Amino acid sequence: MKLKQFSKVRWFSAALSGLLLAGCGGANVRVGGDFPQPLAREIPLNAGVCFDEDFRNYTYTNARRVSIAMGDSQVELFQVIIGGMFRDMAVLDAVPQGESDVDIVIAPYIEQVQLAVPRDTQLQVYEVWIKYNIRVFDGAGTPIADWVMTSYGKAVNRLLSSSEAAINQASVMALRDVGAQLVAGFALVPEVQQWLETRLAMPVSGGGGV
Amino acid sequence: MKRVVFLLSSLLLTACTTATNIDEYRDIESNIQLESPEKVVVLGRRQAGEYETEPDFISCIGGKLRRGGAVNVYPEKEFVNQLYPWFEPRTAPLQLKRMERMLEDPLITNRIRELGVRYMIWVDGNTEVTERDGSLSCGIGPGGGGCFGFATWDKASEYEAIIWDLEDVDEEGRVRVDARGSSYLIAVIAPVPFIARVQGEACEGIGKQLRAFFDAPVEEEKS
Repeated sequence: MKLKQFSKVRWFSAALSGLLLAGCGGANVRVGGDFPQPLAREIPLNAGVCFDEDFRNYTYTNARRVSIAMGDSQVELFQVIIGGMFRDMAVLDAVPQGESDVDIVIAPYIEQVQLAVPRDTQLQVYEVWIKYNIRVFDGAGTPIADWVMTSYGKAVNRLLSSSEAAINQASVMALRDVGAQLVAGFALVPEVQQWLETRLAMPVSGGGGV
Repeated sequence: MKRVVFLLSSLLLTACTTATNIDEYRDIESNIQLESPEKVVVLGRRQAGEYETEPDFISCIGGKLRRGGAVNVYPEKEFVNQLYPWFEPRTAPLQLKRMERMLEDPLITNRIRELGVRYMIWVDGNTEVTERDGSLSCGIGPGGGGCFGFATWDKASEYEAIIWDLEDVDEEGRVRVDARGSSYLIAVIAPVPFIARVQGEACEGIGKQLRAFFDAPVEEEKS
């Protein structure tokens, strides 16, 4: 009987210690979520997409020991989105330096990531901002545009759900927001629009459409 | 002991009370008659910075509409993914005018038709704790643990649902619900909660009212 009581106390203490440790902050999140095929009108060009090592392995960390590994997810997202926007898509190791098989090259780069947690904002939401520089080149590697965009995602802090789950959801929403901006706004970036109109010899509108 | 029983009984009687108000505005004279393949999608608004309409509340409304086979409801998440990225917080049409412009794009119109969605219900609002009071403390020692105290909190739910007809591109009506309730937690060694179902009441009210907008689908006659 005593052994049973002792065991219960130990379990309770262990659970309490776990909670206390969890309450001290720190979270390791590997972002994973739904990135559906976009509903976009196809641009009749072959696109190359180029991810450098930093982009592929990107992990955000802050002073509170929160880390968000978003490399795999953002590579997946860009492949799905660019693949849905253009006639054909190929993943390139580097931006071509001279004539190549692709018509246009997109090389995204993360400039900054910010995370806000309920402790910072006094709101019951987790928020993630990702500032991208979407570098656009023609098939020969000549720069067309540097499109700096900021995407945003948020997740409401729910009872009995972990901070990891909320940070993951906010990150997924921020990545989906990048997809939304790419589909809706890529062809409307003035330098890109001008290049597309010259290349395709027709007017270009939003929605990834031509 | 009698006093404790009396106190508990009176608390039980007053606890968990919810007050629900429902307002309805109709832009149509008769009910919406759904054809057999036509579906309704219920979407929550996620554009506000400080809150979002809870996905489980949207599922709850969907469940109420489906009850008794009254309405064929298309799942929210699937709809948003099928139309990605046009119903993301940044791109979603919050006004009928914007929806009309969006429906001018055959890519979007055709996808919505393929899914069989005829009506869209936008739901905006949330449930939040408006007031907290009391104190509760728990302790643990080698001989065991327990809690002692009393806590109370008030919750408020406020939601508005707008029905859009995607074929005629017009508004069919609106339903607004607000519910309030108080919950209690009494702890004498073990905590005993008396929880008010504020969000549940709001869902019941808005779901029932929305269902009243629709007549059950007419089955096509088999030849």
